[in-house]
Amino acid sequence: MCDEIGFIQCPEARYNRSPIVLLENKLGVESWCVKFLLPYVHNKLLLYRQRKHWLDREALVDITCTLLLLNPDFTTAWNVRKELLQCGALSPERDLYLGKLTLTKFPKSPETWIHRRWVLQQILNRFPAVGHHKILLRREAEVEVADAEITQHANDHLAQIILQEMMVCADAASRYPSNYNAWSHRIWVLRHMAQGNSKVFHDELSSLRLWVSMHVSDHSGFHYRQFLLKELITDLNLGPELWSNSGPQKQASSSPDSSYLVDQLFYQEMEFCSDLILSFPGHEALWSHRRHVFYLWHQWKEHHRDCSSSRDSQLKHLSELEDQGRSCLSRHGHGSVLMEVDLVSLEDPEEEKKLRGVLPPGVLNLPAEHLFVSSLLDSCCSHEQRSLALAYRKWLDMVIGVQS
Amino acid sequence: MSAQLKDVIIKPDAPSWLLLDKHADYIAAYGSKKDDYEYTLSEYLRMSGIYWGLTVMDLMGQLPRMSRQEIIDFIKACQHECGGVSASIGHDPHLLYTLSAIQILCLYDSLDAIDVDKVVEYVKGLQQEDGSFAGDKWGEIDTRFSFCAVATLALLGKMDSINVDKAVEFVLSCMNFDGGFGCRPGSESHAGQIYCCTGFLSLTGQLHQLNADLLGWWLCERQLPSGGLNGRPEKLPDVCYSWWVLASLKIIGRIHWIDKAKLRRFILACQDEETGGFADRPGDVVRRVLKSRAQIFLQCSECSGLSSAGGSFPHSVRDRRSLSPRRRADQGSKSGSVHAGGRPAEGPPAARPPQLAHHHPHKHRYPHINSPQLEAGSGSGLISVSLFGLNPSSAHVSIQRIVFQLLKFKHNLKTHSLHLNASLPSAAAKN
Repeated sequence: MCDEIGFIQCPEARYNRSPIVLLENKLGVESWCVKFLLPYVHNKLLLYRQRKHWLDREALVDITCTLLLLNPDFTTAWNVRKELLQCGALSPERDLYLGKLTLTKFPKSPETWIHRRWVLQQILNRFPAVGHHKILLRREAEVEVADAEITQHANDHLAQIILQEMMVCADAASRYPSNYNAWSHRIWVLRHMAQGNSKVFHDELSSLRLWVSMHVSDHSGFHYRQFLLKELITDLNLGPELWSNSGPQKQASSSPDSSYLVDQLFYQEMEFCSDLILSFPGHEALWSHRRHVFYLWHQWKEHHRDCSSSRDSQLKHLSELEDQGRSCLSRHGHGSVLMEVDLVSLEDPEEEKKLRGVLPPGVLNLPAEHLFVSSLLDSCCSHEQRSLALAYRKWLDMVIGVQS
Repeated sequence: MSAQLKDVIIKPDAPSWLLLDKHADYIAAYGSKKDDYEYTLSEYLRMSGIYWGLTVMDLMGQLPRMSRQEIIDFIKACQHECGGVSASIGHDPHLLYTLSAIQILCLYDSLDAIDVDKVVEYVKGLQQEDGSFAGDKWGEIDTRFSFCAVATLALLGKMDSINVDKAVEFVLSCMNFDGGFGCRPGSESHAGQIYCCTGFLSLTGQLHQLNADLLGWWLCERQLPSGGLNGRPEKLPDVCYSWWVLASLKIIGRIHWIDKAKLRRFILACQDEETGGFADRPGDVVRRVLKSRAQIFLQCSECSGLSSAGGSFPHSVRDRRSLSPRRRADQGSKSGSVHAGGRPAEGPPAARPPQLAHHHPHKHRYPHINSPQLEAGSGSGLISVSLFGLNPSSAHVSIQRIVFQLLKFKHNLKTHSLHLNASLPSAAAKN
């Protein structure tokens, strides 16, 4: 079975042989034949669609397959396949496979992704227990399952599908920078197939650290991390659908433990972001990520302040952390940043990181963010990095400063 | 090691004036070789391609060069039983091409050529419970389709057929923390989607629900040193994104937040002097598919300051369809270009802290929906959104934008009696 398709640059038919080449699971088509092949199959399909020419199911499967491998944005061809699927002449898995192939050559193809979501929805509709399954994930202690075996099988199948989709998205994202369609599909999959399954979100968050570190310009990749964070926070603390665009909506029912977990998530992400900003100066996507994460954090904190003023333990915990941060900074002068020469004597890399302006763990607030910016500006940084740091500072003042 | 900013460099010998005749010839000749492989490849969006080409020709006063009756007959053959219109004969109907068809028929003042009641039924039937719109019967949800729906109905004067409140609710649920919009709730902000959503809010009289300062800031951060605009952070500038960003800024009254002169220079540099047409960015190869010249005109006219306030659709069409587009007044700092260096990283000048703009409190309920009153940038509200079905790098998509500016440009050409070959700098001087 082939796993990749492509055109072989070959402007003329030199030899009297088939232009289709299959080599080590890669399917190639010699380019000279495409300009004959495409209009031929294209018109054949349209004649069928206008009921001027009959085509049996097998022929339709073949013709649409050929067409879509050459022109995957030909919506009507995908629709013909939808109908074939509905009447049982095609399996959903086959269309997922076809889509996966076309994406190797056309990683952005909007119609391919659109069709893919339709197919996945058909598969989901065949899971009678899916709704039940979602509830089950949330109330693990309760055993409400009528038929445990079916549910387990469904769970496994679902997990498999999710995994496959993550791989298809990752592949497409690697083939085209900041692939909006691939990443928004990835979000769609988790939203529709992994609701309440915080393990999936956690796994995604950790497995993508390496990928985004190697694609620091990929704005979509970082947006995906923001989505994951948001879902995890929602799941950990507030329950489903309680997070709208203006922030957390309902009373937090969180325990101090889950609140701590949320804090940790944010601290880790901000630290990760800081590391990247320092290691790869001048990348707008990284600063944009910082804005997003800090904004989410800020909203979360505001909400907690409003809803849980009686939660002394939480506040105490947080203020302890802030004290730690403050004492760390004051040890080396209030808000001042050491020059490189002063750092030479230090042996502890963690210490060094703190002094370079990277947030000490547990300190995440507006003053710390301003400190991060000023320490960057004070050190030698590129024009681009300066620009971005200044813009971030302005954003902090205008967006966060006003709201707090 | 510092990153190199993702941008292009404009060569000194790049075209610096608008090659109108070349573009007109290119469009007029497009499709004359119907067996062309590339023509077949793009057939899935033919209706939109035709619309784009026609609006550009109309703008240049060369509409008569196109075959009016042939096109009207073509549209007739593309309306299906469900009322929806397909991109070409034999293709399946879709909201994108339904809008394009209506726009073409408006241009030709021939709405009676098809069954418009059926069109309204088709659009209405695509609205979902949460207010969103599917693109066709197969159910894909996207804010683009919300725009298509209201744009179609606005042109037909039938906005009341749908649940506008719910439609607005859905679009607003797609607003992100940065003031932008994505394709679905929680999706990444994207210039194209932003354009659709601001156009939608304009058409439904809900512009006050936007955070114009915040969104304006995000939009003006799209401008790069070359003068071109990108669609999202760290993307290369692209003439098609330039349109979406510019049109959105226009709608929300923040167009003065970008450097127009630099943008104009960028756009003009994208032209192909030999064949006509525009590439995505200077230095790229002009695709052989119909390109979004419209956007160029649009942006050029905007940039050269020829455009007058209001006027976003041909006056003749506007009068016929009883549309009275209004503009959102330019807000915020008026101190000229934000970025002497073309890099808006520091944000707009002296912008007030972002807050919900309550400029039209009386518009809390959208105005009489029977006689559509369109707000700022209504041209953009009338523009096809088909571009989203296309790979933006094959620039033919972006034409929608064209409409908007074309109309303005055309208006100004007539007003100032400019010869078609006049270069923009002299046109600007005459203004």
